[in-house]
Amino acid sequence: MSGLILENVEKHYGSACAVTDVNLHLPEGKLVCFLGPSGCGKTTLLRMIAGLETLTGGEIRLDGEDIGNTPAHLRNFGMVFQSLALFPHMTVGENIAYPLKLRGVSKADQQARVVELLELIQLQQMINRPVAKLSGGQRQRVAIARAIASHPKILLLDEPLSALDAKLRESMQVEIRQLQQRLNITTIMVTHDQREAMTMADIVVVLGEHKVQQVGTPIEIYRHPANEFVADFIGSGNIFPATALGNGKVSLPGGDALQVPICSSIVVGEKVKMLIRPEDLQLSAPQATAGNRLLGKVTFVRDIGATIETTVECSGVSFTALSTPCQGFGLSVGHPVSVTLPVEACRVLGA
Amino acid sequence: MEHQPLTHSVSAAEARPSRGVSPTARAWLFLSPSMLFLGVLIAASLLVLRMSVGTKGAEWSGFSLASYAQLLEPYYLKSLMLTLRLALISAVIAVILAIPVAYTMSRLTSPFVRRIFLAAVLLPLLVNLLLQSYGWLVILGPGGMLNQALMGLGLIKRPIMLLYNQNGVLMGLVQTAFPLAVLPIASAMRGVARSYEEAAATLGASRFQVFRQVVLPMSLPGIITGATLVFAYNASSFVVPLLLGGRRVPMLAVMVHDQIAPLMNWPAASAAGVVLIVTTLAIMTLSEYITGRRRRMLEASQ
Amino acid sequence: MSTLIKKRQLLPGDTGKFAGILSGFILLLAVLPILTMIVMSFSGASNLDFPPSSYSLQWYKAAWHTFVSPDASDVLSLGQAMSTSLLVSCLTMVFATIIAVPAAYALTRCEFRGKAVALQLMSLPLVFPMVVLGLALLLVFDSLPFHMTTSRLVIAHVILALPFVVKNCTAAMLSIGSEVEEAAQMLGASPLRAIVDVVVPLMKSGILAGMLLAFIVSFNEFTVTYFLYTIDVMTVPIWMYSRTVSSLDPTVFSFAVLIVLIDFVLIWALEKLVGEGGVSF
Repeated sequence: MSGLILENVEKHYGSACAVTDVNLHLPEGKLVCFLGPSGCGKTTLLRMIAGLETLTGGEIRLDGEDIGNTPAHLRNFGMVFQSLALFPHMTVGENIAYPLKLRGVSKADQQARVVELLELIQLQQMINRPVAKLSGGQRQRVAIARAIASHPKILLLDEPLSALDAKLRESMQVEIRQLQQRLNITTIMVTHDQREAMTMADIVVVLGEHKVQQVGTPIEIYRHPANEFVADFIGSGNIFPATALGNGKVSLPGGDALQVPICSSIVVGEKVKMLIRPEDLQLSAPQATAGNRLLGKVTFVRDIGATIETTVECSGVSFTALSTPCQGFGLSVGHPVSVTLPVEACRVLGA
Repeated sequence: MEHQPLTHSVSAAEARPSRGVSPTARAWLFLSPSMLFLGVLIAASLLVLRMSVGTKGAEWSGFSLASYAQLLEPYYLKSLMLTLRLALISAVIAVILAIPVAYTMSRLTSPFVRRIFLAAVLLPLLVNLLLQSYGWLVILGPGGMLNQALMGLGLIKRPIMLLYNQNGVLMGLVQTAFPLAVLPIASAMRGVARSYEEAAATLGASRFQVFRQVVLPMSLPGIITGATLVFAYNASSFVVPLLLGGRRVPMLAVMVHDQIAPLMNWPAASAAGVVLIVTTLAIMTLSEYITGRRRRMLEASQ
Repeated sequence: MSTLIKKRQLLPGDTGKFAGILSGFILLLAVLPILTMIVMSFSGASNLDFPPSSYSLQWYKAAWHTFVSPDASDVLSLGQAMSTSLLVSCLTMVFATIIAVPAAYALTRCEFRGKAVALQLMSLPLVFPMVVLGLALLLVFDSLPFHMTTSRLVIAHVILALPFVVKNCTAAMLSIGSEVEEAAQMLGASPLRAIVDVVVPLMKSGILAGMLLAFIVSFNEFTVTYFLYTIDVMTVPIWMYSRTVSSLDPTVFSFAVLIVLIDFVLIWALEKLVGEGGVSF
């Protein structure tokens, strides 16, 4: 099987567990994001793949071969560190040429490759510039160029954009994604920013509490979160408790009944967690509760310009609805309003 | 430098054997030359220990605790008490003097002034103790600077005897060990982020209150370290009591030397030496314990 | 009409005038003996009165004379003592640095059993009573079957200088951080190659500072050397002491000024290299 395979990978520091029970198959040429809150083990996992940490258990195989015992400097993976780790005592050109120098590439070939890469990242003039004189975005690009200089099999990125300000980060996300697609290089990126993962990744691996919580495309994960952790971490959601009544009906804390997609594994009386995304909720003029249309009261309004977030309290649950200015109709706190939860948009978590 | 294709596979096992040399072995390999030299130090200490229970004339073969018993004689006990007392007083004075200097140093901005400060602080420590003692001879002598100043101010009628007694020695001890107090305190104060002082100011504290109630307590580990270093350094001080005390201030280190030359009583010298080592190590351990607890407390609150 | 004179606001965290003046005064006291000696070296009288009644360069002339040929009472000339001092200090400098760099690497980068013990051991020479060290080394060296003179001094000085150099190198290494080393490894450098290509060049100023410190410590060392010197192998501090054991003549002040000058220049160079952060205990 081609690609990178992690089998039963785990890492313990003494008695503390960093990450456990990791089974992944990362196909070639894709951009995979390890996404999760800080401390979930995603960087540890990346470093194990890089060879900078040893495995406590399990195996890592590349194209069928076990690379667990191969030291980091022989794995030929490119890596961009969070701090970028550009060598301060070398110029841009020397930094990029370093992996080639180590491999005994001739001076002429080194030069050619450096020029080629600088063109790729559009920093042709900077070849002799000392690293300290570069801006944040420029350093980013040099770090990436250096990592791919020796045609590595896999590119590893450890929260590469966390040090950049918001605007620069967004443009770099696009740049990195385009570069990755152009080179068709298998890339693994660690991030805690779910928007970043959604923007860039082909496959998202959500990590939480030292375990893999879900693997899938960004849309899969967004629409069909496997459990409450993923639902809560990805996007903003309305997660609320309910009690199953059978036949696709659940009752809310306030007593109202809700029709939801039928789920055969739920027993009557079981307590469940439900998810509905803010953009799926529909607000309308206040009318009596009927079906999935609940009557409630506005408790908070946030107008961010492009969208309006309205928080409504109904049936014992606080829902936040997202609407565009043309949809909204001038609600203010205390106003009664009706909220409709479309059946298909309601999701039972963990089922 | 090979970059072979990744060809060989290893059967999956639960625990990974470490690649190559274990990190512990590698670290100790790097440390071994230093440890060799330090080993000389340790071996030497053990020799001193052995010598201290030898007898004069049969240093290596004999065994007796006579040298230690000798240390309990009033002459030596007085010397021990004197040493501890002078070391303690000098530590306290040095720390008190060091605190304002350390505070200034930690808050300076101009690089030139910082360098002047650091040079001035380091000079007493690094420059030959001998030379500075000569300087003290000039300052403390009957016709010296201090006496002239005091007479000029009208505080005394005749020159007072500052040399060849404990006062002169004390001054010398404070001055030479002063840098040992300044550096750890300055380092600790630098670690007290300016934002703490600013926060205290916004809560209504005056400059002095900020200093006393925020900076000083947070620098306490550094202060204790400084005091300990000065104490340990001065407890075993040799040159200062030798030159500034004449025969009148027999600190323990001078005792040790006297036992060798002219007395040639190696066991006695060693016994006194052992007492010095034990005292020093005890103080260091105690201070490490105190500052360790304090530091953990500070770190936990951040 | 009154003119408002704006006083520059003293912000919290700034150095106040009071603290500054107090510190300056204390520092003046700290270097007072050294300053005194410098003044005395220009004294025209031959007693120890301060301030001197007249000024002259007579002591410098006398000092120069002894530099090249020994007085009747001296066994060695200052020149010989100086060359011994320089030899011992240079050797100390070199050896201490060679063994300190790997030690600093092990202490900063590696997690290993016994690390706390190793750290404590590294600081041991700083607090170890110097007299006992001299005594102990004398015992060791005297019990050896062969004769060592200059090398005894070098060994002793390396032990004394080691904590300083190690601490300097450790500080330098910590400020470099381990990510550049890991980056070099990911690019294909073996662990050793990564150290040589990346860590050592970045540590240059730290290493240099450590060397300077070792030199200064060795050059000025008196107590331990006092136990270990022999009649024909003397360092400058011992030489000066032996000269003045019977009577104190101000020639010694001019020597002292020379040494202080050397020390000051070295300390200045040291600070230029590392600034305050590097010189710590």
